[in-house]
Amino acid sequence: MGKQKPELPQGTLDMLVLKALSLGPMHGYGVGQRIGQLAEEMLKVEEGTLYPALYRIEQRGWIKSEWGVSENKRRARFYKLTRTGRKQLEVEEAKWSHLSLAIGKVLRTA
Amino acid sequence: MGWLTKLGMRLRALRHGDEVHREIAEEWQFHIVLRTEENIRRGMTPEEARQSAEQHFGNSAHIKDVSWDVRGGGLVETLWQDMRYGLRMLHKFPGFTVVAVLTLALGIGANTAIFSIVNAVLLRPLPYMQPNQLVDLNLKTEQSDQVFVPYPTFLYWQRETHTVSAIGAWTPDTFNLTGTGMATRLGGRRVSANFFSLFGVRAILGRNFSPEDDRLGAAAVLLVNEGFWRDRLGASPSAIGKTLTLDGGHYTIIGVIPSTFQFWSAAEIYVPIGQSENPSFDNRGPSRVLQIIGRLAPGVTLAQARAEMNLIDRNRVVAHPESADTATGVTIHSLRQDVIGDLEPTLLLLLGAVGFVLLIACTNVASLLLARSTARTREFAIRTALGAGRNRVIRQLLTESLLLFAIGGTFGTALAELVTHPALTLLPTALPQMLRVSPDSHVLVFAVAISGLTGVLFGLIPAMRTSLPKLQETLKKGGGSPCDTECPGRRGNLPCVGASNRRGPNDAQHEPSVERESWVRFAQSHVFHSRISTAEQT
Repeated sequence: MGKQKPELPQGTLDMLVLKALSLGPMHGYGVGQRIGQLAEEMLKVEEGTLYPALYRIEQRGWIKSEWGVSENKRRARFYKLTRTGRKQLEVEEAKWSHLSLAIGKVLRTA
Repeated sequence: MGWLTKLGMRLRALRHGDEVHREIAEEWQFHIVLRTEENIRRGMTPEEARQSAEQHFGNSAHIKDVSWDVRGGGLVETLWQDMRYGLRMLHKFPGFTVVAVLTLALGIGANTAIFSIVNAVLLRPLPYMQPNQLVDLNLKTEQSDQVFVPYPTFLYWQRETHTVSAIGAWTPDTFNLTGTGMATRLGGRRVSANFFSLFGVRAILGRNFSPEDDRLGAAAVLLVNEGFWRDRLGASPSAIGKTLTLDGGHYTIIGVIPSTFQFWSAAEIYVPIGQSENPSFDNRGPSRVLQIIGRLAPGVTLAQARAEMNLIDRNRVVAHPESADTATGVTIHSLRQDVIGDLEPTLLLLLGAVGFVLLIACTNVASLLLARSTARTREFAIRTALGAGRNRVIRQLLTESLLLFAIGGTFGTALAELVTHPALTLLPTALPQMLRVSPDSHVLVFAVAISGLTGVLFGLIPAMRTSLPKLQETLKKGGGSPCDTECPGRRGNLPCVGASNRRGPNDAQHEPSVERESWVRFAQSHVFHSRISTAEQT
């Protein structure tokens, strides 16, 4: 399978989904594509696991969904970031950059 | 917003489960189609494109379970499914079921029985109006802390006290009833006029004693118990005003006391104590015959009442030197303490003992569960291989053991109902009759709680152990491997269900897959079955 792609750390998928949706409403397949493109195909995301994540995030009220028509004229379920979702994304981004900064510092020592 | 959305989804999933399933399926279908098209654009054949799309999607059975859980339908539906399956398993292993249920019924039954006594004695308030204010008063001598009280002393206390708002006296007595056919001996009480009002008890018919009834030379009157009124007086309202002949004296019935009122032992009739011509009352002498009961004034503590009563009793000796006796003071206890007395440690000891019985019962059942689930390891390995998450397996096992404990608990509670009254004879002293041992909501909650708690606790341990099977090893063990050679079409962690066909030229009739199917116990829709021919081998 060539070079091993790292799996996502627990809990970061939600953040990536929010980020992908911050670029505009999208269906599940598109969310997966966007994450792939944004990560320049460096991450391995099992596509199916996107869906439970989407449903979970929707339950928390961070995204909303409705049925619509896709670019190729098919019925698809579109997800859209809500106002609380946008705030949540900011919180998660701040947390993540703080965390990666801290871990980076630790790894650079010695 | 959060929980409201959740509730909405849960309700929707419950009522329109199919619709939610269809939505999920449609959404995923859309995904697969788009991915397939993408793959074709990249140069795959349609067949490859489709396979690759599905492969990238992952373990769809597991994802479907998780999604369905998140979308809210999972809990109720799978609970129902697990319960039906659990019942089937219990039915399938009757020996195990009977032993486990009996063991649990004994453990839970013993606990519920003892608890219903504890409940009646220690937890329920005494069955009187504001029972916490009720106190028991006695004289103290050098020999004893609880000496009965002479009538004059009682009257003096009654006049002087402020901390005890009402103070009453009673003594048991027996009476010979004549004039109504056969002479009968009746158990009764002589009581002071305020005795019933002190407990907050009213006559259900007629009237209570008044202070005028409670003195020497007053018209002879009596109150009867509701039971006596029903059995001997035909429950007739005209019984009021009738005369009974007791010990040769004629007493007029003035009222009926409800049988819900019980104080220590049963009494059929009540007579005012002040009318008594018994010498010990008559000469108002110092005979210690009375038991004294009081109600503390609102806001007064036991200690305050104790201090005041001791002061009053010292004044009594000064004011009435003729009433001086060997008493050195007054003791005053809450009525509750007086009634329950030494029962508390005994009952707690018993509760502890049956607690251990339950612990042993539960441990036995837990090891039975463990033994059985070890025998079912293969079943769970297959479930896991087919996409069941660990939590899902634990939940199923837990549902099964909870079912078992619930059945055990039900039998146990029924058993408790039968053995509680015989168990009362285990107590060193007879239980005072005002403590009625009867099952109530406390007992029911207790039975449900111990069944549920022990069920979760002792079901979880075997479940945790069973749900961690080493997939490959387990599947290879016992009955030959279902998949001796690597199966070419195999994906993810899905093994071949069934068996590889090692049909040799000489045993052409051999069909191994038939016997193997006996251990495959799961919904058989959406499961594929493949056979790999190795006929070229020699």
